[in-house]
Amino acid sequence: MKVVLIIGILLGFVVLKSQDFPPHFPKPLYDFEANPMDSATIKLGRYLFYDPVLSSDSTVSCASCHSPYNAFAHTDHKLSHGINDSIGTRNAPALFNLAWNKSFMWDGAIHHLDVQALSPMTSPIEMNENLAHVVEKLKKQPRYQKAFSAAYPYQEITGAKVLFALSQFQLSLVSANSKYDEVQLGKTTFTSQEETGYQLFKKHCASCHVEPLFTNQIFRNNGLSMDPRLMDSGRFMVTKNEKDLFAFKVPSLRNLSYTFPYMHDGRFLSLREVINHYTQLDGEETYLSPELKKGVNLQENEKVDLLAFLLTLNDKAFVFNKKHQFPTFFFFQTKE
Amino acid sequence: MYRLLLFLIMSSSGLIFGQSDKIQLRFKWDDKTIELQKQYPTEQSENTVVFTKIQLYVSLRSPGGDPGVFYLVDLSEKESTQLPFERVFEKQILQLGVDSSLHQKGVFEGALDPINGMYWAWQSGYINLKLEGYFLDKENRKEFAYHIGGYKFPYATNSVLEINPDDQEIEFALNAVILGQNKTHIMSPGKEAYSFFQTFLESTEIH
Repeated sequence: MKVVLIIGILLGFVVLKSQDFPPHFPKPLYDFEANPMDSATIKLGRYLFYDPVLSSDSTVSCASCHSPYNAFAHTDHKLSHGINDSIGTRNAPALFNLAWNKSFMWDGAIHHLDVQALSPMTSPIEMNENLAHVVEKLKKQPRYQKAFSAAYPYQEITGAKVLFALSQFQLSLVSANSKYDEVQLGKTTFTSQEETGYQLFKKHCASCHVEPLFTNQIFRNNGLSMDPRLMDSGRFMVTKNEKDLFAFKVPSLRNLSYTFPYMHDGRFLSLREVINHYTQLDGEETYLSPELKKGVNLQENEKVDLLAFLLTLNDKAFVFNKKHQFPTFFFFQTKE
Repeated sequence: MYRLLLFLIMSSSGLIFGQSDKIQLRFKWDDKTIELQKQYPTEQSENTVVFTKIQLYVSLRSPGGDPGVFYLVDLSEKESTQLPFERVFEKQILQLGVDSSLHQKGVFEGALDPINGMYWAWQSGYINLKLEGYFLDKENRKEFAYHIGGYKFPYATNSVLEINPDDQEIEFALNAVILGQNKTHIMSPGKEAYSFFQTFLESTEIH
């Protein structure tokens, strides 16, 4: 290991391996052998992530909806918006711990991280672009010629490489330094209120929000009424299976302080509203997931304790990590 | 010396090690090989059909062998209709469409790069076959577009055919495929795309 690190530093890069991921996390699902991480490609992916060149009129980047200061979620609108101020039908989900994802998007329509970027890139209400034109634009920019050359020496810029690089940057967004994580690693302990909240969480929430990712990544109807303006039937739109009507992917509960508003359509602005939604379910809602049929009964003081625990899932170090933020040096270089 | 000379002549002609050759793919309307933007008569005497795009993913491999290289057959690039074909002394497998196991692995370079426009962005998956064009009836024009894909059971749109070493051509009789459709557009995976693909397979002739 030391030899690899020394050689890597001498060569000017550090190779990240899947073994570098948190010890208390399960094995990642992403195939790193097909797209091995390296710092030059992660940097390239970061440049692309923040660059509105991915959109047809150069106004919308990935970061337009996935803000680093909000754990890469979208907080200034209930529904995310794209090119020409087009309003979508969902709130952009937070981006972290993607190496453990089985599927992507609220309805799981995308099955692999490497192809996920195609969806917003080509959507007429998001970036309204196509991959061929993106590559054409990138090839004309000396700073991208240099960045691609650093990541893929002596190779042509291709659509696949754009997607691989975006994946690598997103795979580097690992959130595992919350207070909860430190407790799991034996570095600290919960307060008594947080511990009470943790027990309540395990009783009422953990069947879907499974530790340590805080999602089981399956699709569930949590009793939200359908917004008739949006007509979003969720997972059903992918599977056409009636049991998937109004079912959406269970999101992670990490970084909740940064990722409001909540739910697939951003209808709840506060965690209190979220908890109240669950405690107000009567268990008879049509298509309600089986885990919620018995109801969620919480006294007011228990709601406060539960909130106290949920706040231990915030990872401030992740949100304020400068390595994930806008690469000023790349975009404000001197004349090319 | 004579034997050495004979050996050299036979090996260069492929008689010993097999010939590296090409196999031709043709898309046909009745007995005519389709060219894009040209009109072909349909069964209704005053109707003609014009194809504006024909694209198909194929790969070749030996039986039981590793998946072969994928090619994007694109009628707008005539060279792409000729596939490299090793005429060795065994059958080869022609795979039409990208299979499920490859789909699970994400993105690839080359012919399978999504830059080629044969990948659905809104719901992951390769478009295995694109047939676009229009029917022309005097002044009326009726467009059709069949984007056939899907990799999930039971509606996976990929299949394999056996090719013999002396086969020269693979033909797809598109009149049987197109004229039998009651919809002008299929743009997503599922039962209709699967049914279309089965009809497309049945239209195949190898000789």
